[in-house]
Amino acid sequence: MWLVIGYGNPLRGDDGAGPRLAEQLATHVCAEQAKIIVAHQLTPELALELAAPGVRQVLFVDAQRQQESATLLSPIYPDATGSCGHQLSPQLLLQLSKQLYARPVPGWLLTIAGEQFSLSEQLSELSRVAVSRAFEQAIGLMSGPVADC
Amino acid sequence: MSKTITIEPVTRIEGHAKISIMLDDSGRVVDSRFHVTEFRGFEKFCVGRSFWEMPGITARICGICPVSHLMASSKAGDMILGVRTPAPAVALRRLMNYAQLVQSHALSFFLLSGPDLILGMDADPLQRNMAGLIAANPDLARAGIRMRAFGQQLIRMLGDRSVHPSWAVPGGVRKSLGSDQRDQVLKQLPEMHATINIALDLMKDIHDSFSTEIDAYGEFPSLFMGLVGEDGGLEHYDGKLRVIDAEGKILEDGAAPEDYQRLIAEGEQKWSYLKFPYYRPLGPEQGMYRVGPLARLNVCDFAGTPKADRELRQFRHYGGQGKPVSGSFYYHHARLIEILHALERIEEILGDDILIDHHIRSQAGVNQNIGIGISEAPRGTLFHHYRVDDNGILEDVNLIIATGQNNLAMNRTVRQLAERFIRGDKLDQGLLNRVEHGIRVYDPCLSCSTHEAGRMPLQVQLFSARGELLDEVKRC
Repeated sequence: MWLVIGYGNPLRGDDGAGPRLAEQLATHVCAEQAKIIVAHQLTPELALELAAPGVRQVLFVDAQRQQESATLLSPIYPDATGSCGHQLSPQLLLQLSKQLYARPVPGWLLTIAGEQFSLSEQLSELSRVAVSRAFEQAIGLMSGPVADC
Repeated sequence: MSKTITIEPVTRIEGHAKISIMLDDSGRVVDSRFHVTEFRGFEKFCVGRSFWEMPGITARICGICPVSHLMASSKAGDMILGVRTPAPAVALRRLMNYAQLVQSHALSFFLLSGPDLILGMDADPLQRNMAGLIAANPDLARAGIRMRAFGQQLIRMLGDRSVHPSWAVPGGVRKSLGSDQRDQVLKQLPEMHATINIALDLMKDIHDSFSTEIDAYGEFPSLFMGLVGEDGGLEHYDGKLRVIDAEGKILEDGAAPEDYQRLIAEGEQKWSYLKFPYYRPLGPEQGMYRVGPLARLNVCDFAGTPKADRELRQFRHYGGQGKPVSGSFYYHHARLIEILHALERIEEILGDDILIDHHIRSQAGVNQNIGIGISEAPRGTLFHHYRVDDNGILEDVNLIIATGQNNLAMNRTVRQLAERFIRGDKLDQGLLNRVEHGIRVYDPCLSCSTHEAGRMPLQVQLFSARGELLDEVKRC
């Protein structure tokens, strides 16, 4: 099963792209295929979700400022040196799952281009188009074979 | 030549900030500033919206303590409705507030301050982080994550989600707790008690290992403010405001929410977006006060639960001779005692038949144009003050956040640490770590909202009085 975590603040314009995509995915994939989580930010207890039985791969979805392409999909790997505080990096979450729970889960990061991060509940046109493209990419990724870690 | 050392941003706190320390020609600290460089504007953003929306909107001020805003906002809404909130709803709100306290304090102690406390201030910054903590004490890290998940799970059970639950509303709450959910929480309590007992023991060891420098982390006289119950007991959801001075003398007691503007004035500085509240009767110089776990334990007469009371009695020895505990390093210890207290209260509430009652919301329209809600957030007293028109549309909003109320104390703490540890213009990591930790003891929540990947490097810059960059250090 896939674990999809879309994170960001829907009240800060394009920062809400991750949650927006996760909500769209939740209406299109079945529960057996993926568990969808919408989060404000990545927090340590999400490591328990990564380490849960049945999770074979994880897809993180985030907004990204100053990204040339509309979307960018990359494999990511456990890394202990990433952002560490109230909000964690996806790489550090992978590390927590591996190191604390012996669950090395293959991970992907899908970033969605954004340009407007001030107070707003709306996505910019740039981000809105990018979310549509990201949706197709995410569906395509989850339809493929499960990667080895 | 006078110089300025800048630490930017401060890591492992919530939000974006930097620290500047100004040195004179001889390398002596002459000033220090804790700047908050993030502007949010929620108070203006909310004007023109309906007060019914406020719990949901203001919960989005923060991804770490949304429940606190939910509580204060709902209570302000209760006052606008002018209704009596049903007792089961109050019990459920308290339950969520305690769950919030557990998850937030657990994050602060186990995972944010844990690396400093376990690995030490002089540890390599590349190791002095969550990964380093895991390597040194994986059981502690796992326990901290479990405790955080416990609190989040209880919040999610009540509010359907753990971040930004739109569950508490003016007049009550939207839904109750099922008996199977209640059993699920109760089943986890022994594990949580075991974890907090381990942490309390560990904290006492930490005091020993930090004994030579504890007094550098915000050890100074100040006022303390917090809510206490009608009986003077430790209170987090309701009650009246109490202010004590550095000797433990009560300056204000039984102050109702409507009195808060008589007690608190909000100062400002051009170099920070964070307000500088102070106790109005004593002015900005003498009126510095602290809020949060340390303040709450200082102002209350007792905790009101057996295990927390036993810990509180021991804790008070750090103050000595009936005085409040005045060192901010003891915020860590106070958080653990509050977790213990919250676990005991959660068990009490879950065992109360009042939760079976399904009358959880009072219905009414706008009956008063002013609503003031106060609750104790993990970091301290939180005020929501609304003025609405007869249709409930907000005309004015004032929010006083816990972290802001510790602003003067945080600045004083940075100064104290800088004076103690900075010599000359040499940037030493251990020294900078201590200054950062001086902020972290308050667990400030500066509310990051935008958090694109990779925006939390630590940058330290050393400037001459003429603005020349003399030295620079960066780290992740």
